[in-house]
Amino acid sequence: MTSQGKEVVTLQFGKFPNFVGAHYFNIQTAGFSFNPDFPADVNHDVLFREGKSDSGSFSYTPRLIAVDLEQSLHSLSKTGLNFVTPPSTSEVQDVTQVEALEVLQNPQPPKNEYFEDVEKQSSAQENPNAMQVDLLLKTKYDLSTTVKSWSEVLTVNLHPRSITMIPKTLSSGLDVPKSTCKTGDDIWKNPSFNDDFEDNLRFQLEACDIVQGFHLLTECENLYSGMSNRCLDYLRDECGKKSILTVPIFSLNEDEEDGLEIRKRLCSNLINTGFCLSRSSELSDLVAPFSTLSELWGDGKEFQDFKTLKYDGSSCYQSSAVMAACLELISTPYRLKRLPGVRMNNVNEVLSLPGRKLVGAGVVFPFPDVKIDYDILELLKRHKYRSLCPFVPLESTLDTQSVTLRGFPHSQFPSSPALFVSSCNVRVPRTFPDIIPHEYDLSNSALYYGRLREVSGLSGLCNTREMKAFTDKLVEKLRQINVGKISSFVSNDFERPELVEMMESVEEISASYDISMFL
Amino acid sequence: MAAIGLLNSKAEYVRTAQALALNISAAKGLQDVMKSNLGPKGTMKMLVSGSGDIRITKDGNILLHDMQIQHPTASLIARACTAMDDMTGDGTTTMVLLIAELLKQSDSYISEGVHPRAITEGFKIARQSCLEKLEQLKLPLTASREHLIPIAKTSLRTKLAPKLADHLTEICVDAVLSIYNPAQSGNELDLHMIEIMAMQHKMECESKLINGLVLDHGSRHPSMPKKVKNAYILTCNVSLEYEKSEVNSGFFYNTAEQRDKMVKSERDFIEQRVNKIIELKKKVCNGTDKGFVVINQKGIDPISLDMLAKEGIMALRRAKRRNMERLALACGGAAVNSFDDMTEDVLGYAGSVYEHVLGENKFTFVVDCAKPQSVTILINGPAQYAIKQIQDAIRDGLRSVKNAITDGGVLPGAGATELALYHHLLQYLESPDSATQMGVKGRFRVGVKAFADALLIIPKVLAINGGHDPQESITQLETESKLSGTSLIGFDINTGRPVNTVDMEIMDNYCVKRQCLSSSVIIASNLLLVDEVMRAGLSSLKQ
Repeated sequence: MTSQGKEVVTLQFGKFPNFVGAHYFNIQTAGFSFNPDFPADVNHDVLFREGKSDSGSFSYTPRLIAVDLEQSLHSLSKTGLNFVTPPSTSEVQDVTQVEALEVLQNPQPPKNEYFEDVEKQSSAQENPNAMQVDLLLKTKYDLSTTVKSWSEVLTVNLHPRSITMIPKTLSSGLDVPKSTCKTGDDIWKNPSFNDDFEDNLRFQLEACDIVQGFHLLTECENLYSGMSNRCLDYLRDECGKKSILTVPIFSLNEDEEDGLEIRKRLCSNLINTGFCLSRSSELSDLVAPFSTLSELWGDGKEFQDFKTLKYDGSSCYQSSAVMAACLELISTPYRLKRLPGVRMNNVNEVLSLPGRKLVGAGVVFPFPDVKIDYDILELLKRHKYRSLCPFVPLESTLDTQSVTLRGFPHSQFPSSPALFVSSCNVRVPRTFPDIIPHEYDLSNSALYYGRLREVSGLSGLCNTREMKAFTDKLVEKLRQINVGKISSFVSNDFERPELVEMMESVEEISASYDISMFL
Repeated sequence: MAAIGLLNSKAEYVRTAQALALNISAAKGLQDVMKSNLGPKGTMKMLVSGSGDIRITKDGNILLHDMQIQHPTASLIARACTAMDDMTGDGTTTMVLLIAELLKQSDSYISEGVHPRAITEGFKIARQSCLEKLEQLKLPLTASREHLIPIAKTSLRTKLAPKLADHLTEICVDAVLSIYNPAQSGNELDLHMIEIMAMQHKMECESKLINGLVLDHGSRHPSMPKKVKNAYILTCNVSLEYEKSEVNSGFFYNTAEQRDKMVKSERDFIEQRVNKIIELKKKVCNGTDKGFVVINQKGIDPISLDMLAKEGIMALRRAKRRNMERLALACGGAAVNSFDDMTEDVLGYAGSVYEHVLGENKFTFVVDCAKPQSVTILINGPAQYAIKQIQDAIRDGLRSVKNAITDGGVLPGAGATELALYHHLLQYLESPDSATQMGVKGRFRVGVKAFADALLIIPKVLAINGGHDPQESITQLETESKLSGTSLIGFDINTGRPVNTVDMEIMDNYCVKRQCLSSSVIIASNLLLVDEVMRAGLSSLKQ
């Protein structure tokens, strides 16, 4: 293994983060280079783990812990493979020596277009009599209309120890969008979840030589906020000072409800978000909130305009794809083979300003220019980031930033600890939604089969005083709902002192973005 | 029309008899589903998920939750079962059956015009009386092998094929006995000190008890010893991984050389730690034939591994948190949090430590300890679902043995207890004192009667699942227990004849039965007293 002790373990809490993760790891596998003449610039051992599967064959699986409700696995089996045929009843009877066996079968979800083609391909390969025709997969499968679960998007096999599900016994009767972080705490503490989680995480850690850090993707508005906070505690406890990048993701709540229910949900969402931000900015090294909405908390349902992308923000499948592309770009620096010395903490160093861990992530994806004949400052001036952080436009005062540019030779730019350039394009996996306009596709675009799309991209993590707009809004909204008084209306879970404490800590975060604090 | 209907025309509601019917039908529905699980002859369920995963189980709790119940009443019952399962680890099916039967029996009285309150009061009296009787029925036991075998066997036989169950029975009992220390204050039995480890094997499917520990990882260095005899074991929670430190951040260096120096001093820091281990190893092992094993809860990086390997030390990284405690109990010694001032006292000892590789997975056996107070049950199974099934069964088996020890007694199984309680309640109703002393008069009597009748559901369902005629079996049982005059007469599921449960070694946990009776009465009473069910959401405040 050549990971050189730079492993990154990814943790995903909730449906949306798992969608993002599915796209993210798809992008990774799309980037694999099987041609020794063109080695990939990205060191895949950072995110992937080499091993042997149960059947003895070679396996290469993400260093990942995915947490979700057991019932939302959909087509993904706990063995980490999609669409597994269950063993026959007689075989099971034989193994367990049970005489009377009653079969309770849940219907198998229908295969989507992509998986149908994969199946056709593999059956064609197995059949020796078939004509020597390579069955090529299409370049793009847009699953927007059919997709139900993140597992359908996933083109990678997972390791069985990556799948850490909340068992049904803990989740029955749970209304996730309205749940509070206290519920998450309770689930975390329950041994039927916790033992599994610790075992699996330990398994992933044991396989790492020197972990450089963690990506923690979590839904921040519901019970997963509580779970991820507990998880951060655990990571700090077990892994000391490793870098942690926390990405709180805001859910898309589409369903129309009546006024009172919306208000109730909003209250618990705000409180959960408050807890998530206050704890994660205390425990992690960087916190980069992701959302495709440009405004949150009942202020509007406008989606961020990414200029070069045509996407439908209300679709979880498409929004998560944008976020995954962004995560791919911002996580590039510490995965480059060219820069073996760069680690997550170098990026943290670049961005660190006292007390400020909340950073905004922005992208220009796909990057519109084919050629760059200007310098870096001009580049940043011409191509303004499109922000993934609600309320924060990332336009004017970016105090410090770490920039990643993919698809251009690094020799063109002066080396700088805050600028990371890689000549590799971002390859777009097949199940990525069809949101990238044709003109940005850098691969041979005449082909519909076989080849993958390729695009270039620019991203930045920015520590900016503009983040104040986001934190101020949160403080304002929390004040508006009058945290102390209203809590029993939302849930009896919270106690006044902790709410007050949370409020204070969010206010403190907000204050650290004052202009005066920068000097 | 209910008042809510005046205020909110959209409100849905059902009242009195309808509301009750709603609750009873839900409970009945659950009973029908769960019926076939009870007892050793109940059918196993194979749950096949949409993604092709399968799970073999008979556990009421798992099944209840797998059905994704929408009905509010049913989910109330399901939650009570989860609580029951958390507390005792058993008895969920019994409880569902009992709750439903209590409602069913009351239903006929209520339709005759008895007020639900009268019945629930009767339930309370009956429960009180039953709990007293349970205390008398309890067969005292000591924590000895022969006393515990029956209880473990009864528990395991309901979950697994008989041959497998009998094999595991001894394992479970031996495992609990080896960690059981009566001298310890509080007699707190910590089942966590029994590690359950699974290996997926194509060939082997024998499970065994290991007097020591099995860890699910191995050393990560090719030249480390794979087998160590007479090993000193150092358990520690100290990072041997090169980490960035806070001083290493930008402000403290100006040139690349300075930075490298910084990194080097960091590295030295870790090396010093490793050297301390090596020093200790040399001190205790030099000149003897003893080996040295380091088991660390934190990481060990390749350079440190290399240094340790050169000294012939076997090192494992990222051990399970709980294994730190287990190792100390199994091998002696103590887990250390710092390498300063280490002495020989902190070291544990094991006769043999060896690695076993199975496909991708490595296992490290720490065995031949002098007096292990932490043991491992090693499950070998050909498929994941088989392992899971055995794992669940072992957990329940261990719980039942633990319960028996903490209760200090067991109850006769195979329906004997229910039958005895039934007789007890009938006698109680007939006895002249009951009318005056306990206030069981007039209306409350029907509640007691309904309770007594409901208890019989357990032996009845056992008989049905065994393929026998329930009525005939119950009659036989009654006659037999009257003739013999003991309360130990239960139902032999194979022959359908009455048998002595002590002879047949069929025993149930006292706390399970007790909990079951108490909870089911509470739930059933609550459901009976519901006389209005409504669903009314405010659509909008603005309207």
